[in-house]
Amino acid sequence: MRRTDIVYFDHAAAWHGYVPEVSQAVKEYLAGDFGNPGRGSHMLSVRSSERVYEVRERAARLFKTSPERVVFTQNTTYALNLAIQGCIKKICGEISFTPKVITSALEHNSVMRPLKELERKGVIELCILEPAFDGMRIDSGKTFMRFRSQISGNTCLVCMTVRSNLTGERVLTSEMARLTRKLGIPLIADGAQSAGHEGLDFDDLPADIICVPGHKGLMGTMSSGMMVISDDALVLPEPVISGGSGAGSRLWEMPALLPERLEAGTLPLLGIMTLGGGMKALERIGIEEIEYRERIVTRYITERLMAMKNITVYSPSGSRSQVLFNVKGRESGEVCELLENNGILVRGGVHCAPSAHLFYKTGESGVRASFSYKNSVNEAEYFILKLSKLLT
Amino acid sequence: MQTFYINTGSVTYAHKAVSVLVKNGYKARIGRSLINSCGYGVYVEGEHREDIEKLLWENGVVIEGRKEVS
Repeated sequence: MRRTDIVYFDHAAAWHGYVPEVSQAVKEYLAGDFGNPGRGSHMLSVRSSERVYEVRERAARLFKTSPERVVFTQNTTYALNLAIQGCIKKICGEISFTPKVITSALEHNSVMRPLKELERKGVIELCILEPAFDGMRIDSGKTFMRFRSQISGNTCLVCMTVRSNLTGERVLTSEMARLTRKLGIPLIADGAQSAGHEGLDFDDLPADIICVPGHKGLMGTMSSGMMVISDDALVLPEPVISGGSGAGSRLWEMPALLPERLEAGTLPLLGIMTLGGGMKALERIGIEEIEYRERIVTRYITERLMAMKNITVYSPSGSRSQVLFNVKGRESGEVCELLENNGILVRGGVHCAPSAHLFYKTGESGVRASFSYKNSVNEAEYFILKLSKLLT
Repeated sequence: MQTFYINTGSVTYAHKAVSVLVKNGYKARIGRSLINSCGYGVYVEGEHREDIEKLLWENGVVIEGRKEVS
């Protein structure tokens, strides 16, 4: 059961809290009656593969694609690396020039580092889009115009986060996704801070690939994640990791068909089962209810922080599920420690997004409070009360 | 009524095949490969193998081989 002696405001890093469907999945796994899914045809192996396929079907319904287009990974970072490197490998095999990739200044290192590495090696030309900012929030209209102006004849891929992992602000919009589709440019979306917090599927966001973790808004455990590929993706990533696949084993290449083509090695069965449990819980609770509850807590805290002296808030009012702020004269780590002494857990530092900190002019780090539907206004009130006392 | 084995290659497509077949009223299950001792397929009861395979093809299941079981 959920601890009652702490206030957990770090859901952007990992889910915290009891979810009966996830707990049931863990119990089922620990009962010990599973084999290796996709390896062998005895009853325990087949049982495991049935569980895996059920989760693929659930993810396919959530994102509006086919079950075989759901590729399991251990987290979003692996999913993004498979997507980015796999797509570049495919694209470079078909063109005779250096492909240009557009990303944003607000990316997490799981996007920025693989792209920077490809740029360093001379494989790609990297274009980093600075969203238009009016001092309070991103101007999505002007950002769209800037994005459109960055697209040139050698643009072969766009890879962008749906929401900033610092402030929760929307970065990749449906409008931008529709433009890339219209122009025939593949799009990889980092849905790490969006999945499970708001509706995210290929109807709303016509991307080619959406990468998500199991251990945040989808309420599963760490060691679960997905690269979800659209039914009408413009490009299918090439494998970047090779190994056992459970079929076609006499060939020296990975199998031709998804998902096994991109799933080398034994699958993380426990993570997948908990991911399935989390998505089942999502269906039970309803995304509208989740959005509503998170919006209330986020707005409460954002507005009160904005009214406090000596606090700079970087998340605009109306942003989702998280707030980034700094306290004048205090290191972010120090603020986190003071809050933890009062049972409130938040995250300080760079949040694996250094260029996003430059964009928001935070002075390189900040305190992030991030929420789930399980957080309450009582907890928000307690947070504001304690923070106010600590600062006086 | 006969039992056919249809090889789908991967276990994912075997499950997809079972899902399609069961939704269309067939009795089907995943079992060991009868084609090359590697990979997976489905055992399905039906009158006409061609109808079963057509249904699978129409639903995106790639068939890599077949065998009549009984």
